[in-house]
Amino acid sequence: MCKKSIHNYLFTITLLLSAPAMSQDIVLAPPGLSAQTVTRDVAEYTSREQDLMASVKAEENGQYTLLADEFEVWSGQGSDWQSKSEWLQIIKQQRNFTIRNLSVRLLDDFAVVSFLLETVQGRHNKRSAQFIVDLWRKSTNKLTVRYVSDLTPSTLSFLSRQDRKI
Amino acid sequence: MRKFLLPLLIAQALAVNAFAEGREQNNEVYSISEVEDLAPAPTSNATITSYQWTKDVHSSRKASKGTASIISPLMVPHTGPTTIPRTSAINVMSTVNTTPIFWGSSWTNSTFASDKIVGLTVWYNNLHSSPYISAVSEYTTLNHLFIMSKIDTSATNVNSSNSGNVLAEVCKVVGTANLNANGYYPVYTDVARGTANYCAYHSAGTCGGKLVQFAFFFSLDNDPGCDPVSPYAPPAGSAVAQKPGLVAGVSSAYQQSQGLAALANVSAHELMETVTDPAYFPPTGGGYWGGWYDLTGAENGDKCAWTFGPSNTRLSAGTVLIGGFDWKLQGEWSNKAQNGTGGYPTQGGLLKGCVTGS
Repeated sequence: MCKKSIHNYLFTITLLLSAPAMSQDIVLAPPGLSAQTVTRDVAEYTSREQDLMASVKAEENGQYTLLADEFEVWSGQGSDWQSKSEWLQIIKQQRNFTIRNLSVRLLDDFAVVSFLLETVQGRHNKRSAQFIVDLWRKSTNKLTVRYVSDLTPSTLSFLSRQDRKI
Repeated sequence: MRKFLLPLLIAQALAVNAFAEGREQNNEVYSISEVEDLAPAPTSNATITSYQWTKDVHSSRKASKGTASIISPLMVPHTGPTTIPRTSAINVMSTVNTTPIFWGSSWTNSTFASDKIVGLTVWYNNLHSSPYISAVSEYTTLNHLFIMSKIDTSATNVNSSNSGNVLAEVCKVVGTANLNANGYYPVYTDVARGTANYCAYHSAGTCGGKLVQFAFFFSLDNDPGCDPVSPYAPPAGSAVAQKPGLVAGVSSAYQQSQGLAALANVSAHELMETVTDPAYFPPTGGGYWGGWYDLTGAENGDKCAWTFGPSNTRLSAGTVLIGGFDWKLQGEWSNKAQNGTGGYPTQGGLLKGCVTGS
């Protein structure tokens, strides 16, 4: 082995030895230890999604003021959409819900709102999680369409971790 | 020589990997427990909202207006894992020594800097004598002290909002030896928010074993998503947004720039959350929120974000007099106000526990 190669090896070893030491000098906040001030849009649509769930649960005498007449739900299960009445029946079975990682993009007259929805429903407290994309029409303040993707527990865990890495 | 070097290199590589895996494994355990609990510690916490339907409330509201029933809106003290020795039962800050850091090459640009450095210095330096400080009086008796500002004109980049990079910036600018045990280091950058869903955040870490409570702020110039719409500053995006400087005693005029007004509002949010819910790093490793937050993980600032209380003495909602200037600041959550009187409504109007101090 030539002298230059030995020098390179020694340099590499020095770097490797020093890597843990450098890492331990500055310890990053663990995932989860960052608390954000969300934007006005996120705060507003978080409140609106809660109001929507509340109005469905309370039934509003059958009038759902936050749902557009043409409201429908699309998911990856089957090629057909879910009608408003079918969706309402499912929501009413939910015992509690958690909204996380809500984000908002404003595009002309629409707000594209995405979030993770964790729900507990039924007598056996079945837990599930979905990634939701809602299209709210701003001029009417009504939800026009919802896209739903079911999440596996491992996917939810992964997304939650990502959320904490700012 | 090569005979010895290769095994040594492999061993070193394995050691580094083991170190990395250990961190990742800890992180995963932390995350999974949070997901399963459905009542996590605050993690970007304003984005997590839990509701539970209770039979009696649901049925009683069935015929009337539908509203969600929160399990309990009150914040409760957290002491972290019971297996870890604590120095106090509840982790709050009673003494806060603030050192704002202005990071980015734009801080040498007088148009960008405008009145922000002077304005935030006035804000932090006089906060202790303002009524706003009493918004946290039920959780701690706060003694707030402004130390001095630091300006680092080294360039920022798209990764500057990363909490690890912000922590490294604090440690670099302040110096590990100079870190204050009661220190709070808000870092104001020249990085625009872009499409991020947050305006600022507070976090913590350690440098050389010393605890660092810090916060990160985007530049909020002309950013309507993070603008309090202060009557004391021009509207976001207006042509005069950067023109005015801080003008004392002219509460109805544009006495501060829009960027300064926006930073002051989110500064109140982050400081008050750091005071009531600072991160805790036990010697045994890991990190925890150890102070006050509610069952959804929301801290006092989150629960009243983008709401502005009535003002009896000043011109506009949310107005707080600090250092002779009027500032429009969001309220902070008060359990006492929610249970009694004196509070104003949260976003959505379901609760009434927000206060701006008196």
